[in-house]
Amino acid sequence: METPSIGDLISAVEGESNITIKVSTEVARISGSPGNFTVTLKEAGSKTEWDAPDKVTVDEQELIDKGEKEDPNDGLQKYTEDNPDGEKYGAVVLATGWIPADVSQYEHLGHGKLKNVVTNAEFEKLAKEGKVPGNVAFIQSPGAAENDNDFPYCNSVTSMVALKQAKYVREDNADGKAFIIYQHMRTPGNTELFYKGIQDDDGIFLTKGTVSGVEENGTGLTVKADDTLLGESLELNVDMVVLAAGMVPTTLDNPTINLAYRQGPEFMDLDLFDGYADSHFICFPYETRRTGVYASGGVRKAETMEETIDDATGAALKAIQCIESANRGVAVHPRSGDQTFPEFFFSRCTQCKRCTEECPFGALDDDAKGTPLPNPTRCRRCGTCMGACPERIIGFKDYSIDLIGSMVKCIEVPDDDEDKLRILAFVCENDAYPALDMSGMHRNKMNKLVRFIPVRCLGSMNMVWIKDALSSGMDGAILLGCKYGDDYQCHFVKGSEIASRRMENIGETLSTLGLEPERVAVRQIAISDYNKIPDIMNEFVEEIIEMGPNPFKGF
Amino acid sequence: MNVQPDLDFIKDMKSAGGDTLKKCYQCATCSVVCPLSSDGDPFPRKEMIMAQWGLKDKLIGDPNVMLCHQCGDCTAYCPRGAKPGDVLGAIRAYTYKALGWPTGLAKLASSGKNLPILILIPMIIIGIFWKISGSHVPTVEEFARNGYGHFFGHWNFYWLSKNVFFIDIIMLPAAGLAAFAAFKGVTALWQKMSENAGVGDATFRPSAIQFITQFLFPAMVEIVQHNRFKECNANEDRVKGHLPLLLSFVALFIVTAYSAFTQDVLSLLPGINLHGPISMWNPIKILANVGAIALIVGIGILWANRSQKEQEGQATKTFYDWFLIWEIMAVGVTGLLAELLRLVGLPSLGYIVYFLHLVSVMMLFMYMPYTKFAHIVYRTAAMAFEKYRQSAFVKDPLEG
Ligand code: SF4
Ligand code: SF4
Ligand code: SF4
Ligand code: SF4
Repeated sequence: METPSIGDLISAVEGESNITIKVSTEVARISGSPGNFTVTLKEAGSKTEWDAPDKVTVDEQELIDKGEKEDPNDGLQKYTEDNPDGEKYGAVVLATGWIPADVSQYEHLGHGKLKNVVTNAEFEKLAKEGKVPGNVAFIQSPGAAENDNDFPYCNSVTSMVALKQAKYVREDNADGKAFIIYQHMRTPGNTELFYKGIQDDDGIFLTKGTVSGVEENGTGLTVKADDTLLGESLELNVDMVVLAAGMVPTTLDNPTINLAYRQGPEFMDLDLFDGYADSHFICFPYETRRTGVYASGGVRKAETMEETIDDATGAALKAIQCIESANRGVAVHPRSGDQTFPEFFFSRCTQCKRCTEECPFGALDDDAKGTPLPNPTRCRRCGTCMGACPERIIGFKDYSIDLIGSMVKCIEVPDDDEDKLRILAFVCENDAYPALDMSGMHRNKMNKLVRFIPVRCLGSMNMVWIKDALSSGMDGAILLGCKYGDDYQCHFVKGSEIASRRMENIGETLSTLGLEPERVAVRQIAISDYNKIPDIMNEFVEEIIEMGPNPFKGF
Repeated sequence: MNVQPDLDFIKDMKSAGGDTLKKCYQCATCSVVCPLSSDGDPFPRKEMIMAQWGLKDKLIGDPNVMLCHQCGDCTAYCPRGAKPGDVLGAIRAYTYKALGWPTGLAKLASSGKNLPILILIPMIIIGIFWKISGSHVPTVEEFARNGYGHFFGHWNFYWLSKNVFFIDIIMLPAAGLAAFAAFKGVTALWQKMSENAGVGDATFRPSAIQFITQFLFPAMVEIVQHNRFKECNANEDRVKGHLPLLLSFVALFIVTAYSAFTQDVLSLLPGINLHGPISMWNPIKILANVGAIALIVGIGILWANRSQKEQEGQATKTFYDWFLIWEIMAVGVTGLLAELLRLVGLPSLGYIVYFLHLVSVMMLFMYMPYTKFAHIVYRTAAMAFEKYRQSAFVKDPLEG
C-alpha cells in the first residue's frame, strides 16, 4: 500500500506564497455578498460579538420586542452590521469535511460497552500507533432484524477503508486473520482492482451477512452473523471488532458556514440531503444554496482523497467564475451572464417580507426600516421574489408581471361555445418547456384547447396571472414545472415547491368565488417525460370539460 | 458454526492447483452451468467460499467435491477466472491426502517434489527382490521360450513358480496396503459426509445387501456407463479418452485375475502347467492386448486434452493431475513395449523395460489411495452416498 501523500500536499501548500493558512482559527461570521464578503475570523472555540446570529422570524421578533421571549442573539452584532475589521473575500469554498459517526446506538454491537469494539476511525488511530491485533472482524452493516442497510453515512469509501484496514491486520501479524462481513461491498471503477488484490490475500475472509450480535468471550469477542454466503450462521472468535462508522458531514448539525444573512447562518433544508451541503449533487455540483459558497470534500459525500482533489478543483473553478461574474455584474449559473436584476418599486412595499422569506438564495436582507435590502451578487435571477410579491412591485427589465400579464390577455378566448374551452399552461423554461418542445419534435399530438406561456421558473409565478386568466374567461390553468421535495430537480431549488404552495392558497380563494379549485393544477415534469406530456394535458383538459365552462365567461 | 479458518489449508490449496480460489466473488455462475450440480444442493459456488475461508473439515466431508467430474464447464464460464473446477480438483487432492493412511506415505505421494522418491521406492524394492532371486538375465533362447516368466529366476518347485512367488510377495502387500488404506479412507469419508449431512442418527440403517443393491451397484452402473461424464460440455472429448481407459482397466483386471487364477490356483492342480507365455491367439491374450492398446489410446486422448486445456488457460497444470496420466501411460507403454521386445527377441532391453513395467504397476497400486487414482474409490463412495442421502433411509419420504 502507498504511504499517504497528504503530508507532501500540506507542505506544498504551505510553501506557496499566494496561499495564506490560518490554523486554530474559526469563521465567526461571513457577511456581505459574493465579490464582497466580509469574513470575521476568531480563535477556535472562542465566542465573540461577531458570531453569526441565529435566524429570528417576524413572529419571534414581535415576542422579543414585547419582552415575552429571550433574544437568542443577545450580545451579538446584528446580521446587517459589517465588521470594519473583517477581511474581504470574493468567494468561499467550504471544505470542513466530516466527523466519524457515533455508532453506540447499535446496542447489539457493543460499541462503548465492550472493550475492543472500535470504529474504523479509532482502528486507524490504533494502526498508526502500531497496535493491530491478529484476529479482527470488520462489520460493514449494523445488521440485526432483517436490516440490509449499511451504517448511515457509509458508501464506497467505508468499504475500501475496511479492505485497507484488513490489510493492516495481515501486514502486522504473521498469521493474521481479518473477516469482513458486509451487506454491500462497493468498489467502483478502478478500485475494483484494489478489492481484487485484497480478496486474494489468504488471511482475509469476506462474506455478505447480517450481524446479529457481538458478545464478550473470555478476553476476546464473538461475532455472530446470519444469512452468510457460507449458507450457515457464523460465529467468529476475534480479538477486535471494527465497525464501519459513517462519515458525517460537518454541515449536518452545525451552521458551519456562519453566514450573517436574514435567512439565518446555515444552508437551508439540508435535511433533504441528509445534511450534505450541495444544493443538487448531480445537476449543480459544488453549488450550495448560497451564491458564492461552494462545497468540496466530505461536506458533499463520503469521499476518497482523489475525489476530494477533484472536488477542490471544481469548487475553486466555481468560486473563480463567481468572482468574475460579480465583477461584471452578471448572474452565475444557471442564468450565467444575465445582466438584469429584480427591481423593486419600494414606495409601494408593505414590508410583508414574503420576498425576503422565499428567496431560495437568501439574497434579500432587511434594511433598518424592515424594507427588503437586495444583495445583487447573491441573486440568481430566479424571479421567486417577483412571484411572491402581493403588491406586484418586483420585476426585471425583460421579465415582469406586466409582460406575462399581457401575454395572458392576448390569448383569444372563445366565448359562448360549450365545446371550445380555453386552457392555459404556464411552463417552466428549464425542463418542462424543453420537454414540451421535444414532445413536439417527436410528433406527439397536443390538445388544441391549450395555450402555453413559458416562465422563468415556477417560483416566479405570480398568482395574479391565474386570476387574469380566469377572469378573462379561460376555463382552467395548469403549471408545469420540475419535481420538488426529495430529489427535487428545480433549477432554482425551491421554485416549483413554492409555486405549488401558492396554488393551494389560490385554490381556496377560487372556492370562495364559487369556482372549483380543481380548475388550477400543478404537474411535475422531468426533461425525460416528453412522451407523457400529451396524456397529462389531455387528462387535465378532460377534467375541465367535465366541470364545464368557466361560469364567469363573458363577464 | 464456529469458524476458524485454516491458513495452511488455503496455502495448500493454492499450491495444489487452486491458486485462483481467492478470486471467486460468489456470483454462482458456476453452480448454474455445472451439469452435475443439483437444484437442491448446488455446487461449486459454496465450495469456493468454504475453500476461501479455509474450512477444510466441511470440504473433506462434502460429497459434491467428489461428485464433480472436473469437466471444466464452470471454469470456462467463471467471470472472475477463479477456475472452480481446478479448485475442486485441489480439494480432492487434499482430501485424499488428509484421509490417506499411513499419513507419511499419503503426504509423500501428494507432492511433485517427491516424484524421484516415489519412483525410487518401487525400483529399490523390485531391484532388491530381483537381486535376491538371482539377478537372472536370459539368453536369447531362454527369452524366446520363457519370455519374462523367469524374470525372478526359476526353480523346480512345481506348484508355485519362482516368478509368480516373487511377484506375489511384491505386489500383494502393495495392493493389500492400498486396499486397506482405501477402505480406511472411504470409511472416514462416509462418516464425515454423514456428519455434515446430519444423518448420523438415522433410525434405520441399510443392511449390507441393501447397501450394495440400492446404492453401491447403481452407482457403479452409472460410472461404467459414464452418464454424468457425458453431461459435461466444455470437455466432450474427455469421455472419448476416459471411457476406453476405464474399460481397459476392467479388461486388464480380468486378465490379471485370470492369470493369477491360472498361475496361482489352477497350477496347484496336478498335471496342468500353465506357466510361461500364453499363445498370441488365446482369447485372454487378445483381451490383454486389446486392453493394453485401449489403455494407451485412452490415456493418450486424456493427455492431449489436458495439454490443450492448459494451453488455453482453462486448467492449471498440477502434479495431481499429471502424475496419474504419466503413471498410466508408463504402465501401458512399458507393458506393450516389453511384449514387443519379447517378440523381436531382445532380452536385456526387454528385461529393463519389463522392470520398469513392474515399477509402474507397483506405483499405480501402492499410491492409488493418495493420488488422483483414488477417485475410483472415493467418487464411487460419494455417488453411493448421494443415492443414500436421497433415499428413505435418510430423508423422510413424507416430508420430502
Ligand atoms: S430573483 Fe430569485 S434570487 Fe434574486 S432576489 Fe429574487 S428570489 Fe432571490
Ligand atoms: S413581497 Fe413585495 S411587498 Fe412584500 S416585502 Fe417584498 S417587495 Fe415588499
Ligand atoms: S467460482 Fe467463479 S463462477 Fe463460481 S461463484 Fe465464484 S466467481 Fe462466480
Ligand atoms: S468441473 Fe464440471 S462437474 Fe466439476 S463443478 Fe465444474 S462444472 Fe461441475
